[in-house]
Amino acid sequence: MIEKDFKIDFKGKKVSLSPKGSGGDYQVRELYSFLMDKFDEPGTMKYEVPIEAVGKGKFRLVNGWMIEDKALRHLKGGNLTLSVEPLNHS
Amino acid sequence: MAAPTFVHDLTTITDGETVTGWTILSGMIALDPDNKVQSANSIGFPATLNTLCGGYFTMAGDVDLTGKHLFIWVFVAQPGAVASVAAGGVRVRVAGATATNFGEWVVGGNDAPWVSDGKWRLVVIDPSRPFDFTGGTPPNINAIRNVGVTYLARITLMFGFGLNIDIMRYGTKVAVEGGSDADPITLQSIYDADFVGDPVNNVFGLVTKNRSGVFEINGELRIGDESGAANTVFSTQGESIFFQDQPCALDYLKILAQEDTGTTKIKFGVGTGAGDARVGLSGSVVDRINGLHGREYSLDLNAPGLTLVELFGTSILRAKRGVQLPAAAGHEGVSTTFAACGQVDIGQAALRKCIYTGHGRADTGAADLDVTASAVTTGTITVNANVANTYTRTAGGSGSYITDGFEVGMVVLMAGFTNATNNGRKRILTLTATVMTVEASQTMVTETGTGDEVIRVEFAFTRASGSFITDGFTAGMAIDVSDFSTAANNMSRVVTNVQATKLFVRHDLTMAAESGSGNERIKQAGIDGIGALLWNESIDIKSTSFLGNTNTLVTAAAIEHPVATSSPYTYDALTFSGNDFDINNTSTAVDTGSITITVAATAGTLTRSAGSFTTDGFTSGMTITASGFTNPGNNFETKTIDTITGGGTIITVTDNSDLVDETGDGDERVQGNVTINLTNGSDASTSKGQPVTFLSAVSLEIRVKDTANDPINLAQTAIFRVSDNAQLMNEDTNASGVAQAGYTGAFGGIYIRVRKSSTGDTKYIPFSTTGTISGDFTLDVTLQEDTNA
Repeated sequence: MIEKDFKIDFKGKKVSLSPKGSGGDYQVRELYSFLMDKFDEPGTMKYEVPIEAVGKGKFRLVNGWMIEDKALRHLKGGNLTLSVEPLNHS
Repeated sequence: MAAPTFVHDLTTITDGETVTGWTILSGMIALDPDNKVQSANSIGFPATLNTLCGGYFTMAGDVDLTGKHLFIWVFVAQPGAVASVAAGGVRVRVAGATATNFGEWVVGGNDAPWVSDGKWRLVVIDPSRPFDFTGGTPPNINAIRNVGVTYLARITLMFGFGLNIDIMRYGTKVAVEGGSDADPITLQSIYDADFVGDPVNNVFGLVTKNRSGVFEINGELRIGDESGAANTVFSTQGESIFFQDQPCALDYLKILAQEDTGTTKIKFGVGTGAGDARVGLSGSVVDRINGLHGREYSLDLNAPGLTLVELFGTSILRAKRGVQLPAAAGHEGVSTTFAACGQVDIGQAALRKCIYTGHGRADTGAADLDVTASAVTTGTITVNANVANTYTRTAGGSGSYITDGFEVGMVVLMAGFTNATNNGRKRILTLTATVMTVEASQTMVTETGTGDEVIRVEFAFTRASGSFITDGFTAGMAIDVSDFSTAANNMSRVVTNVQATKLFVRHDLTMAAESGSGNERIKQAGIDGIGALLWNESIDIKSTSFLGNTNTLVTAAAIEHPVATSSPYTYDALTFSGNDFDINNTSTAVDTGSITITVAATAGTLTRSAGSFTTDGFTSGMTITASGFTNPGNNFETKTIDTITGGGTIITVTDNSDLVDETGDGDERVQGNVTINLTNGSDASTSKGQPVTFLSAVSLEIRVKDTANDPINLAQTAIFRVSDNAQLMNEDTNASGVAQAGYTGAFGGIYIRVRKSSTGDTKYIPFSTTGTISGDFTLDVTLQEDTNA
């Protein structure tokens, strides 16, 4: 379960690998869907979304979000751009 | 009803059980066992026609009455035997070691209700007030040895007494304590314990009883244990409580709650129901009578640590010296009316469903006022006096009392008559152009005028400009006078008559002619504070009406706001109607003063050359007023601070409309406003003093659809305020694709987010935008389907 393998630090704007997770690998798209699902909940509306799709299978982190190296190593498939391009209030 | 314990610091001068120590002014003194209020006897004094009667008691040594009151029981057995108030009918006398060096205060007469009622009366007198009559060198109240009561008799009694005196005391306070929730002390139990329980040692008389359910309070009624662990519960329900007309100190008519290490509970009426359904029932009516001495009362129920204060279903009328509730939570006021009161400070008591009305008083403000001798006079004319208490003018002067300016109710001084009792002070009962009838006092003698008679008002307050009528003064009103150089002119008095430039009073014995310096002031008696209710930072008030708080000067206000630091404040179901002003903002201004401020219009910034907006007290979200700029657009009444940056030197406003680039030149100024959020039907709209911004509730609505124009259900929509990221709305859309919320607060910039990406449903790309709230806000959003999710 992806929600048990990745941790979201909303205030620190960082996605990291959960040490108690399964250690499995995920498609970038799965991470995108997971994050989008998390950020449409009432309690997370105050936070800026961390990721956006820029094309089929292409995604990028936005709004100052970062992903931990260890977590990155468990992503495969697709294209994830790590450059930070803030969007106001998105 | 629990019997209270009395705790006091009164010292008995004499208990009226022996004639030893008494000196009588006329006739034979005697004990009177048939008329007494305390123990077995009183001292009876006979009446001798046109003679000052009564007597005084000589104490063993001098007593310092500074800061104390005299408590003297007096009974006028034959009300018709004493002269009128104007003539000095009944007086309290004090003297030092030499009894002929005395001073007297007029406390009654045959036209004073307590005298004509023919009942015992506790006279509570403040010895610091100026003497009305003196003999020899008036005494200093810090060395009083003789105390008594005198009266000017208008008949000779062949037997019996014209006036009786019973126990006399001096001191400062009497308190009652005791009772429980199940068995509280009441006014009736206080009365019973005082007069029935121990009629020898008690009879303090702070609570007297007129008839069933009607009680009088004659001074400062203290409830609770001031220094000790005694518990007290006081309750009043369905009673009429009148503070009596007493010549006491200005701040001595009151109910004062006190508590030390025990508990004190003060209960007016009963509360029933809970929450918004809670109502107050069965309270009492509190009022005062002050037609002679003009004293006003207060309810001082705010001692630190008081266990409980409840005002349920109570009508508090004319508490001109104010009502104060504890500055702590846990106390209540429900369904209570404050009518024509001074300012009410509810502290942190929860106030619901109350009414404030009739606050607002007459006031000259600082004005050039004089005290004028003979402000109304016949001049020297011919007047015939008649035993039927009439004065008929036959020749001289204007020929008309009315033309001269006399009116019914005035106290006038008669002079020039051959018979002494035709002279002196009398009050006009009826008036025609040529016939003046005065109230009965010393028996007059029919006499034909000889051309040297004069009738005049001895003293009146006068003014060359302005109008006492316009300022709102009316007959019967108690007034506080200040800032005359003659101290006795500054006494509180009762108005008898009002003319545009002349104000006449009931008691002008101690007045002296004086030309004012321009800063004199006469105001309706009571405490200062323009606002029926005093707002505070921790106030807890809802569902209350402020009606008709007004005066003739149109300066009265419903609520005084002395605070601003927690602005914006929320009014919850507070309704206003017919007030001169709904709010009087007396808060210490958040204010730059005159400084140099430069405006950058596009950026919406106001930049000061020195100092700090933050240090001055400005905060994000505060509404502000700007002035002193050359460009009118920069002199705005209301804009909201978005951010304060630059180390406190730059304010960015949420709305830069009308701003114009301008470099400041040193006389610019920004002031913080008190902001009021109006909710649940609150409708305050007018203010005076520092700026006030009223914000009404607005609706927020976001309508969400897809690219096929179909409504999207369960899209999460949120709105946040830019200035402080406060969440204004966070709702799912309904089946119609609509999300709604209400909002009351500062207008200005917002950002909006709409998201729907939950697993198991159609997912959409998150949407965000910015906007501005300046009223009801609506937004249509079209979401694009997210094919990547």
